[in-house]
Amino acid sequence: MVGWSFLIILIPLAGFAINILGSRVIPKWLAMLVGVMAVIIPFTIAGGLFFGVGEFLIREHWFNWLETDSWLLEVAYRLDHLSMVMLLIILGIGGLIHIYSVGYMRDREDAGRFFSYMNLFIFFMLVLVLGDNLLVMFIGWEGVGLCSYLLIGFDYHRKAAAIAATKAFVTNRIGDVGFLIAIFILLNNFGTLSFTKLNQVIPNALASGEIGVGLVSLICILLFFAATGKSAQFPLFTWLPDAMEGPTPVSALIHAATMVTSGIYLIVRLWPIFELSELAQSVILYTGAFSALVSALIATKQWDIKKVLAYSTISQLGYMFMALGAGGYGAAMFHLTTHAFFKALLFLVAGSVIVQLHHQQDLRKMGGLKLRLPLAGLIFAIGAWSISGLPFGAGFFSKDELLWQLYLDRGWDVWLLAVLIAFLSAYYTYRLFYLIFYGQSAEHSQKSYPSLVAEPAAMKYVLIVLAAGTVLVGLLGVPHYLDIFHVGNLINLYLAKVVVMPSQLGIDQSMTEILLMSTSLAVAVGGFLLARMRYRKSLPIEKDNGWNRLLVGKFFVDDIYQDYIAKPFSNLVKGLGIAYFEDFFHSAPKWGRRFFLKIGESIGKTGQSGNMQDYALAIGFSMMIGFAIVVILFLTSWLY
Amino acid sequence: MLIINNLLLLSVILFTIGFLGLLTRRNAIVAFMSVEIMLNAGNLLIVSFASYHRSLDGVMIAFFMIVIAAVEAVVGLSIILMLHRHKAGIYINNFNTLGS
Repeated sequence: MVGWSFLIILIPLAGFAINILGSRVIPKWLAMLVGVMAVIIPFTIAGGLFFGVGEFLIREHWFNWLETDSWLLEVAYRLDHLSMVMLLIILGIGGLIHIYSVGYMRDREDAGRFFSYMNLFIFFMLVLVLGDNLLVMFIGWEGVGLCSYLLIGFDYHRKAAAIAATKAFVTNRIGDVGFLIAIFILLNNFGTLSFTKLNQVIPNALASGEIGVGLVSLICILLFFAATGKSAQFPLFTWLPDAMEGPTPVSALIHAATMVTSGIYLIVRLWPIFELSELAQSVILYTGAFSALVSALIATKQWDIKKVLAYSTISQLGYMFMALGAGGYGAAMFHLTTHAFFKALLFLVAGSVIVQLHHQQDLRKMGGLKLRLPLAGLIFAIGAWSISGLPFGAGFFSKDELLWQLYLDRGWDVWLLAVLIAFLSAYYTYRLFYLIFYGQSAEHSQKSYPSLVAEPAAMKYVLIVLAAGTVLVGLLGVPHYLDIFHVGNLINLYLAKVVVMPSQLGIDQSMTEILLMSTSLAVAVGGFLLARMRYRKSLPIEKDNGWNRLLVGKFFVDDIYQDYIAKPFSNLVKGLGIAYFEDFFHSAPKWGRRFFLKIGESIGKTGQSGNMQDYALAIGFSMMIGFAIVVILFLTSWLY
Repeated sequence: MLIINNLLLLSVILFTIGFLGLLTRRNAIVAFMSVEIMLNAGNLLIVSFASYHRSLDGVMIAFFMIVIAAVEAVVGLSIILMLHRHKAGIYINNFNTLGS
């Protein structure tokens, strides 16, 4: 099985190649089949590796990319416990979302293009998580950014989608500058980019005093800056809500389950380095907390079903970053896993509701759908239950673990902040739930939507399977006080081979843990009840005070960026006259085409005269030129 | 040494005359004569080198080429005859249908 591991990466690429090259030839059903199989087959291989190999680290060297005297860059991939977790999430959830897309895309003529982009995304995501060094990871990092751009702008004829795609791309590039600078610093100082070596060399160099802690902090903060771009944290989070212009399966796969978690993966991958810098950890913790708080607040006032989920994603990612800042790498990875499940579930069920309501995304126009969309309502309830951290949902286990790490590492104040965010997340999720399925009478919804679009079977079954997965995934990390069968915290045990787990030995803190857990539980229930009280019966009237305006205006971050960064920049560009260059580059291809057409025409017309003597002349001249070249070559070679 | 130089020069002059004639004359028979002149210029070159190197190989090639020139004259002249029948004229620039 090990020898087949490279196929995991190559099959999605093959799927992409087949669908993009044959996009005009391959019928739609075949394109869909290829697209789905290009994820399912690698998933079975990965599953075989997971069960077949126990204590494994697969490291496969492909070729040397660059060699100099002082350093060597190789293209290699590694599969250890950490990348295995990511691999199963990407291929498992990705596979389900591919199947869901078969239903979602059934009426679209360009489904082949869609599946080819999705397969390309899976390929780059696998390169990202399986890369053995930072540069290979960076290729994947850029590649998923590209695919995100392509898929957000999938309906490129809609202007909003094209703008959102560009915004996502540009914002991500800003973060990537941080990544690149970090790579340069690392290469310059340590001569290697391999994760294994970096994780050994840097702690050693710091211990022996070769480098100062400032350099380590700088590297960590630059890498974290890249992560804020990809994982949509402050200050670069504004692209993610706009990215909801893309098709819903894209939002579920890229902007909830996989791509946006690559920032967390990056930090967990390099945890020994991040562990060294107190400053970087604090920066990560407080940036994560700030993003989580701000986006959770914004989510409480959004009216677009997908935007609420997008802000919720930012908030949950902020949670994971908080855990990373507190050294809870296992907790962050666990929350990443459960989040991948329940957020993909919420997005997919939202997509199902949107499709059935004739592509309606506005929450104010929904309501009262409980009896008309019973399956969606049930599945949404499972997702909402999980994300809110209510008892025995997936989020209950992971959030609890995460809060416990925060408390252990940082104490009460940070813990309280996190609990406040948990309250908000329960509140906005159940607000969403009640706005869609309650809030209005059934007659009202009957009047607004006399007919519903039938839901394709592929979407329905994927929702059921994913809901079952969401219910079960929390059991991977059962806390010890609930561990009746003594299976242990499976995901922590699994990851402990790669990542350090904070020791909890010495003191029996079960009582404290249960107390904290009960508090956060009570708070989550409070959020749930508040949402139920406000939104169950009807739409509440929003007061027009300053605070509400701030929330509805999304803290004006977008406007600040627009007015103080984008506009001055575009004015500067205009002032420098660069706009004329734009005209030039717009018309240059046209000129080029005309130029070559003219050349071709003139050759065709004058050269092909039909007159024998012209041909003879051409032959004579060509021979003379050839002869002259031979003579010149001969003379010069003779001179030397 | 002097003789071979003169012979080479003569060969080049003959070839140039032939080539220019082929390019400029419109009468097909004259153009055909020009081709023959070029052929003979090449023949002269080969014979000159053969005599310079005291070798019979070149002379043999020259004989073959004379035979080929004779055969070519047969084929070429009959083509010109057919052209004349076809279009009542043997001016080369009348036969330019290859271009259209």
